Amino acid sequence: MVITIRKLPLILQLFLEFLKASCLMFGTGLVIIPLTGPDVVEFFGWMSYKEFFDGVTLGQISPGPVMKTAGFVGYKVAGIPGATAAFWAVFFPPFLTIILLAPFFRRMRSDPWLKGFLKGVKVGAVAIILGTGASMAQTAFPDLLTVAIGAAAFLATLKPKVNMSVVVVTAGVLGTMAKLL
Amino acid sequence: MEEARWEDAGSMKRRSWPSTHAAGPIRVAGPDIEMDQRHPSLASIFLYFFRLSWAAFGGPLAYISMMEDDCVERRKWLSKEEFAEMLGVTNMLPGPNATEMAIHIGHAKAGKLGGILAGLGFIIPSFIMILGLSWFYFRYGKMPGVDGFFYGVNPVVVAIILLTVLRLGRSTITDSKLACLFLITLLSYWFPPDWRGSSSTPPPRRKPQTRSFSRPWWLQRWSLPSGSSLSFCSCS
Repeated sequence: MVITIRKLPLILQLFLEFLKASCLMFGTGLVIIPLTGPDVVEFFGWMSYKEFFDGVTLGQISPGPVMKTAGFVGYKVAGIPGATAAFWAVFFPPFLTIILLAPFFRRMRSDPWLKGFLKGVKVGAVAIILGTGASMAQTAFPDLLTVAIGAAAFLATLKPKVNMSVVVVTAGVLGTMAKLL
Repeated sequence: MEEARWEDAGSMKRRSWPSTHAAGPIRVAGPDIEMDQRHPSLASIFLYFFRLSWAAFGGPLAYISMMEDDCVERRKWLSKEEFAEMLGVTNMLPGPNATEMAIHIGHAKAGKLGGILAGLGFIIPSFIMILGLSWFYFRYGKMPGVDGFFYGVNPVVVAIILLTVLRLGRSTITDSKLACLFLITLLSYWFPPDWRGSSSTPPPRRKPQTRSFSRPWWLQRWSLPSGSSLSFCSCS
């Protein structure tokens, strides 16, 4: 039996796509980039790489979890209902997992199989984020100025005491000036 | 929610974290805060996470440590050990960690309803924010000023992602077996296996792309015939 997700209503497509991302997310919310990026851009053709990555930027620089980028994709596809479907597909499962699994937490913590599984899964998460890193760099670094901004930001963030919002605002102002002047 | 506002109104000033932290927990007048410690009310749980979410910058680690400062040191909702145990559990579950931590704290302090309210408090600000930002982006994103902002900030976000990956990589890839696993995952992400075999036709793509998202350009020329990677959407 072939189930074609494209035949489903758009809202349901969004919901399932981001439900998948939420259920496979281990380690960091940035996993949303490799898990949904290729589908959103190439499989569904909902938006371009540039737009997707701008959405990730919005999710990253605003307070709260990065996973809210899901709402951005949903908004582009189907307006406010789409944003609602995609956003809650990501943030609804934690309510279920915590409240339903709470009685088993003690046993889960000492389960050697689960521990081993998680070790592997977290390494996998790092690998797939790095896997998309190279292609994201292509969209983010169109010229030398952006490479310089990126390198400066990387060096700045290596120092733990640097305030990220200062770096972000500085880069934003630099970018705006470069485009306007 | 409204009637609870007065009891927490005083603690709004305490949000000037973390400088006040060194001076120890600041006493806020009112009997409700005193009673808060072991059995916080539903309203105070909701309001705490609601306010935290607006100030939560800098990735899950940053806001989880903010939660630790507040819930352990300042509000004394949890002991340090309880908090560490909860964090261990949330790390084992799939899904956004900080959100899970909020739900977990609410659940431990005030049952199911507490968990739901804590989670909603933490999530609703993000929802409002992403709606607003998306509306703005799709309406004004083409303007040179807004476009320039992303032109400048996108490289910073790449730097942040790279840094996160380096930190996570250092803490998770601890032996040679895991390093092998890392390489295998990376390669199979770039060259996804064609599960359906060559006989079945791949789903037609709406927008044929010349470059693949999931692979750097220097690997593009070795393309395998394949559908979307890591996706249940294209599976039959």
